Amino acid sequence: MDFNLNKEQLDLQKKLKELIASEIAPKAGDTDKAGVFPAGNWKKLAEAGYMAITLPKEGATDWITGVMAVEELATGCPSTALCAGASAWICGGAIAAYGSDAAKAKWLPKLASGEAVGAYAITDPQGSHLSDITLEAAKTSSGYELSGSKSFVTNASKADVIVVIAKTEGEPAVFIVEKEAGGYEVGEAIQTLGMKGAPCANITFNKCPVSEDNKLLGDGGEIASKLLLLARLHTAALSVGIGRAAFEEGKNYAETRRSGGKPIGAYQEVAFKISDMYVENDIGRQLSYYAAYMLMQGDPEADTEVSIAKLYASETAGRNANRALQIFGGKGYTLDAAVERIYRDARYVEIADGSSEVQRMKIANAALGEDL
Amino acid sequence: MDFKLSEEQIAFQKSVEKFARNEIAPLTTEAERESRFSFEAWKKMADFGMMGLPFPEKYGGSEAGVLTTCLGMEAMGRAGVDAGSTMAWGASTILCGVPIWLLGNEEQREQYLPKMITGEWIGGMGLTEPNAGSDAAGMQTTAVKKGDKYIMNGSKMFITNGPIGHHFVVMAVTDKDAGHFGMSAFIVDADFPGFSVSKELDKMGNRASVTSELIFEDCEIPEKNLLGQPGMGFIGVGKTILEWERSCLIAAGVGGLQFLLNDNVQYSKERHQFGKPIAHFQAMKHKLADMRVAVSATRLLLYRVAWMKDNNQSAMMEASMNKLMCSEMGMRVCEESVQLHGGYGYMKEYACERAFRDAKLGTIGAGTSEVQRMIIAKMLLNLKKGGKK
Repeated sequence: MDFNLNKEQLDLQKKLKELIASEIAPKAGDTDKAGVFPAGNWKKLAEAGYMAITLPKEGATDWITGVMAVEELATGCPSTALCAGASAWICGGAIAAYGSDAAKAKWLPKLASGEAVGAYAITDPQGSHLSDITLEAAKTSSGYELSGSKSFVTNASKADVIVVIAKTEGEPAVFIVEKEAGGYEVGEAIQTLGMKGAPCANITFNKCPVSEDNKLLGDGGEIASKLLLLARLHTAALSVGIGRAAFEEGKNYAETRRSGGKPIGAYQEVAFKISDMYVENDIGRQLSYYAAYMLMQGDPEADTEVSIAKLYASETAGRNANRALQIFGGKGYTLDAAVERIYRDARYVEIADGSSEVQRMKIANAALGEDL
Repeated sequence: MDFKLSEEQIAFQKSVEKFARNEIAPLTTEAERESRFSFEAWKKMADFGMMGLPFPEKYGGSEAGVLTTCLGMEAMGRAGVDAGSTMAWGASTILCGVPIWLLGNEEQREQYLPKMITGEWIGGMGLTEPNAGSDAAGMQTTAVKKGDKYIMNGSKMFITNGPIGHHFVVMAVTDKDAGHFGMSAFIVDADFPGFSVSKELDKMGNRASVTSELIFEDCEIPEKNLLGQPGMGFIGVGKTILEWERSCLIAAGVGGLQFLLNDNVQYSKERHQFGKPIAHFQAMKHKLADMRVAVSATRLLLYRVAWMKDNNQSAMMEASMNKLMCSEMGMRVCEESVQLHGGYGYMKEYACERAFRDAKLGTIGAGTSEVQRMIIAKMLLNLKKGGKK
């Protein structure tokens, strides 16, 4: 048993902290207000090797290192973390696990270097459940043609490559759609409550051509589950970062803002909020690391542990954002306050990649077993 | 990072769980209903080696380390052993035995540990007073040196194993001007002149453990029973046992959550309402989900403190976090268990009724939740940052 990150991970963490604190976090407010893909941040992170963390040239992915890195980036700028996650972690992760040799050779180096932007499209206009999927992949002589639409695709307008869940002859299948092959249209950026620096859009596929090499290999339902699993683990780590950002804002304000002749942190109502924010967020972090570990072990409980981490960390992010804003009082309600943005960003994680309700369903079903 | 337990640890945990389910839980469940301590269960636990887990082999122990000790106690909880019985173990083994082992001289260790490990002697600890709990500065019990004896006066409140203890580690003020450095620790035998216990206190839960006040009226303590250095009682004992206490005494409760989850899963499959098992209703399912989350979260918190302590890392923060969250999550799990069981959960026949009463002590004993939050916030906040204005 060992609860510590290793030396290599700690060195990477330090490097990321420095980059994010100096270059990315100070512009998180601007990134939010601009509401466009954060190309400047992207370039810096790509140069620092961030995108390659979960796409190693050889060997298995170290998801623990990934969780650490995502927490760091999300503490500084959740929108940027979301863009990077959709690309390298989820789109790249799916291709790495299930892509043909040709697809891996074509896309993984580019996703790992940040040269290409990736995206993933799960949700149909009807919903995210596999039974809701209506996007049709028709077999052609050279591969497939996709027709239908997908909703809420992060990085949609920027993506060079999109992993798409569809149905072929009624069965789920997952495909790699390439921008250069055309055949799809990206709608207007959808206005969202938070995560504004990671714009999403709907995509309409119109006989979009996909080569045989770009069909992910294996059972479509299984691949879709794995894709969602990776997305959930990413959202867990993203949540830990948001929860920590709220804690750090709240703590700093509690230490410096004075009222009644003393720092407001000297009042138990504020001090106990700070304590709760730290404690609960740390539990979310431990659960996320543990889930990553279980995933790497190939443990059958990994699926449940990822859901537990995602559920607990995302709800903590929501609670922490609320607590931090409360500590700031009226000042936190203004559009200049970082906590105002954090509060909006936090609302994303309790919904994305399987809402809290969906996670509870999954966790309970696993606890109940199959003999119910 | 590596969350794997060793093969030996897993095998040990399984053997304790099996032993506790077959041999201990039936005895302690009956004892709890009758509000009495089970000496029979105590002796069986001792024979199995539970009392000797932390201690060196030369005294009869097994030098198991903090994590393995926790795993053993977690297994007791998983087997459905009540919180009172495991708390009696904690009060003797951890709160009394560990300070004697780590702060005592060789003579004291040889005198007390072997018989504690065989189960012949039960120990306890006295820190809390009628007017002072976590606020140790308010301590009123004094011990004055007189010849080759200390004369102790005062009382200690809510002392687990009070009525049955052979000896107690007791904190008293020996130099009232020296604050925290003016308190010394003593090993007080129950047969010392001037020592007595009050009548048993009648408690909400943890009823298979017995509790009383310890009373010292010119109690004569031989000088050789001073534990550690004079004036180092509070600091020494506090530092020595804090992480032990906030891991090993919580471990059984963590195992108890797994026991309750299993119990609720089974009940919700068997209990039918509106033509189907209540497990089919989301409102019930989602209670199970939250219980399952608590199981993973508390285990990680517990194992981390134990692992850090075994690796000689200070775990003050992690220990407080563990105490705070295991007790609060535990209380919520118990409340939801009773709720899921409905009227049956309110009946003494069901395990969750007892767990509900037992769990409440978790958020109160060994520093309330509020005290833990004070400690954690104090470690986090730098209130001098803004300067004086």
